[in-house]
Amino acid sequence: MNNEMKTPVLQIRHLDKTLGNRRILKDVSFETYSGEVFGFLGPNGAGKTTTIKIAVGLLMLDEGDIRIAGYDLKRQFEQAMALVGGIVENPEFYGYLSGYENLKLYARVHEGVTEERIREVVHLVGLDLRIGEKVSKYSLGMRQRLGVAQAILHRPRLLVLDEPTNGLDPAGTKALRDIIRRLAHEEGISVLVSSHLMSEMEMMCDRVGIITDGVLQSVKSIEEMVSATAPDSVTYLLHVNDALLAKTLIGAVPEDCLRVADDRTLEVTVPAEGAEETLADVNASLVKNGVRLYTVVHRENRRLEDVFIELTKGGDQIG
Amino acid sequence: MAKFIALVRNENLKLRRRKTIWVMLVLLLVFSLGYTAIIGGLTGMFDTLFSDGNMPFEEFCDEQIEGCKGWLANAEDPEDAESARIDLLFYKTLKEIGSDWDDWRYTTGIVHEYAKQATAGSSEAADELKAMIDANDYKAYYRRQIAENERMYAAVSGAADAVNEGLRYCLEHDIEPSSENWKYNTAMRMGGFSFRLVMHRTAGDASSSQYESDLNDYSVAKYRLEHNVRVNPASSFQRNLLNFGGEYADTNSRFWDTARSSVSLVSVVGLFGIIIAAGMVAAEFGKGTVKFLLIAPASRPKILLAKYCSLLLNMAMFLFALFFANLLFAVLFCGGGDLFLPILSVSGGVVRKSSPILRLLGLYLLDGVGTVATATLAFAVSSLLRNSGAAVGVSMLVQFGGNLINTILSMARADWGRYLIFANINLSNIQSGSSYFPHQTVGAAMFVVLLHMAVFLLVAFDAFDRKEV
Repeated sequence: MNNEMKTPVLQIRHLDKTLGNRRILKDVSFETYSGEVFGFLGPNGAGKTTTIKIAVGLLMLDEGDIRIAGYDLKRQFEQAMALVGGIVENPEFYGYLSGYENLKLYARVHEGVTEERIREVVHLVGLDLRIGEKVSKYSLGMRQRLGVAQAILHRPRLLVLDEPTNGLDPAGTKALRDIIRRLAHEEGISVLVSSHLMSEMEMMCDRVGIITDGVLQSVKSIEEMVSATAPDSVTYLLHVNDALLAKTLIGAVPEDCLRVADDRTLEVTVPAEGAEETLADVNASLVKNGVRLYTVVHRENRRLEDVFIELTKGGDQIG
Repeated sequence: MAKFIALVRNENLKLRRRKTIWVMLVLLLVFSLGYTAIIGGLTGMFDTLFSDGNMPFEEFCDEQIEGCKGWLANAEDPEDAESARIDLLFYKTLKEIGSDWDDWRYTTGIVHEYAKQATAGSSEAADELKAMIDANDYKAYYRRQIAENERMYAAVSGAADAVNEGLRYCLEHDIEPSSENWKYNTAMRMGGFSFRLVMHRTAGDASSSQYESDLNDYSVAKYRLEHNVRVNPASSFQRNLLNFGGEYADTNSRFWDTARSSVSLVSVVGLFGIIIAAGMVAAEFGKGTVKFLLIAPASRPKILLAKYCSLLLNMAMFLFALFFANLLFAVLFCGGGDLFLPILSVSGGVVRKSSPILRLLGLYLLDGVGTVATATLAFAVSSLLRNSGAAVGVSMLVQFGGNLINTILSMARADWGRYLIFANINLSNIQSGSSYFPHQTVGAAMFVVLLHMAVFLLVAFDAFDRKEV
C-alpha cells in the first residue's frame, strides 16, 4: 500500500465530542483513502460509533473539522452526504415495506440511482429472490445484506460500516468481506469498518486505527502493525516428567530464559535467530540426562489481537 | 426542489403502505354515511311517519264531525256546547267546500272564523266570510285581515303597517295563502319580524341582540321575496334535532341543513390528523429508522419540512374526501333538487347570496384551519419529546378540552383568553357569531392560530435539528 498515491476521502481533524459531562472523543484525527479498507478498532465505549455517527451527520461535533472528498460536513452537508453510504449500529428498515421499497426510498433522495442499479445491487448482495418481501420477515443476516445494498446503492466515495458482520453466519461474513475488499480495491471506494473482532479486521483491512477511551492510539498498516511486534525470540513449551530437574540440566540457554510453568511444563525462550538449532541442543541434553520429554509446543506468535490487548491495557473497558 | 419532492413522496409512501391511513379513510366515509343518513334521511322519514297528512282530508273531517257530535251531546255548560257547535260547523263547512290539507281556507283559519261568527249569530260578518270561502277569494280575505289589523294596532304608530307588510305583499303579488307556498310563508315571516322590530323600537331596545337577530330574519325574508330565492325548509324534527330554532328559523333547505351540519365531522379529520402527526417523528425514533432517514444528502430541516408537507397533503385528502362524501350522501338522502339553491347568510341586516357548494367548501376550509393547527401541535410535541402518546394527549386536550377552558375563562371574565389558541381554532363558530369572547372576528382568529402554528413549527424544527441520534 502506498498511501501517497491515493487521495484522502475522509479527513477527520482534531475531533472532540462531549456527551453530557463525559468527553467521548479527545482530539481524534485520521484520514482514510480511496481504494483502502480502514479498520476502526476499539473496545465497546471507546468512541468508535460516536466517531462514525459524527462522520455520517447523526451527531454534531463540538470541536474539529470533518471533510468528505473535500466537502466540509458542517457547511456543505448535502454535498458531503451525497458521497457517503453507511450502516450505523444495526441496519434499521421500515418493516412494513418490502426490501425493494426500502431501497426505493433511499434511491429517490440520491441522484442518478436507476432501477437497473437497484437490481444490480440487490443481485450483488444475493437478495434477488426475497427483495419483494416485507422486511419484517427478514432474518438479521438478510437485513444486514439489505443494509449493505442500501449503503452502496448510490456508489458512494466513502462507505461507513459499523460492526457489519454482526449477526452474519460464517458464509455471510466471507461474502461480505469479499464485497468490501472488491469495492475498495476494484472500485476505489474508501471503506471505514469498525469492529471489535480483531481476526476479522486482520483479514479485511489494509490499515487499522486503534481507539481507546476516546484517544486514537495508533494508525498503522496491517503489515507494519504485525512486523512492529514481530518476535525477536521464540518460546517453546516442553512437557517433561520433572520440570524442576529439567531446568537444572539445561546448559545451552541462560537460566533467566527458563521458567517453570508447572511441575510438568517448562517454558524455554530462545533468540529467534537459530531458534530450532538451540532447541535441538536443549532437547538432546535433556534426553541424555534421563529426563523424559513428551512433547514440544511452539507458542503462537503475537498477532494483531495481542497488539490490541496490549494497547488497550487488557480487553474491554466499559464506562 | 426535486430532492424535496422526493422526500415528500417518501413520506407519502411510508404513510400509504400502512393500513392505519386506509382504515381512517374508510371510517371517515362510514361516519359521513351514518351521519347524513340520520340527519337527512331518517329525520325526513320520521316527519312523514308522524304527520297526519297521510289521511284523506274528508275522512279526517268525518272523524272530527263524529267527535264534535259526541262532545255536543255530553257538553256540561253552554260555553262548552258553543265551542262544540263552532267546531262542528267548522268541519262540516270544510267537508262541504271540499277543502284539503293545504287548502288556504283550512290553513288560514278563515272557515273557523266563519263558524265562530255564524254560531255567535253575527250573520253579516258570517255572510261576508262565507262569500269569500265560496268564491275561493283569498284576496278579499287579505283585505279583510289588513283592515282588521289596522283597527287592532291603531294605538302604536307603524305597528299596523308592519304587521300588514306580508299581507300586502301577497295581495299585490297575487300569492295564494297555502302552507305549501314558500312565498306565502316567507311573506308571513317578513310581516311577523317587521312587527317585532316596531315593538323593539317602541320599547327603546333597538340596540339589543334580539333586535339584531330579528332584523337579520326580517332582511332574509325580504331578500327571498325580492330576489325570488326559494326556501325548502328542513323537517321540523330535523330542526329540533339540530337545534336550529323554532319554526320561524330560516333554514334554506333540508339538503343544505344536512350538508351544513355534517361539517362537524371535520373534527374527526382533526383527530386522525393528530394521530398521524403524532407518529410521524416519534415512530422513526421508536423503531430506529431515524438513522435510515437521516443518512441522506438532505438537511434535517428539509427532511422535517417534507414530513410536515406530507401531513398537510394527507389531511387535505381527508378533508376533500369528507367534503365529497358528505355532499354525495346529502344528495342521496335529501334529493339533489336543492344542490344549487342559493344559500343566504346575513350579518347586521346585510344579506349575502352564495352557492351552497362553495359555501360548504368555505366551511370545510375554515374548520380545516383549526384541525391543521392541532395536528401541527401534535407534530411539534412528537418532534420535541419523540413520544406519540404525549403528542396525542396534548393535542386532544386542545381540540376537545379547549371549549371547557374557554367557558371557564369567559365566565371568570379573563378576557386575555381570547388570545389563546383554544378560543380561536373554531373558525366557523366565530364566523357564525357564536364565539366565547365578544367581538371575535375570523381574521383575528386566523392570525392567532397562524401565530400559534408558527411557534409550534419553530419548536418542532429546533428540536429535530438539535437532536443527536
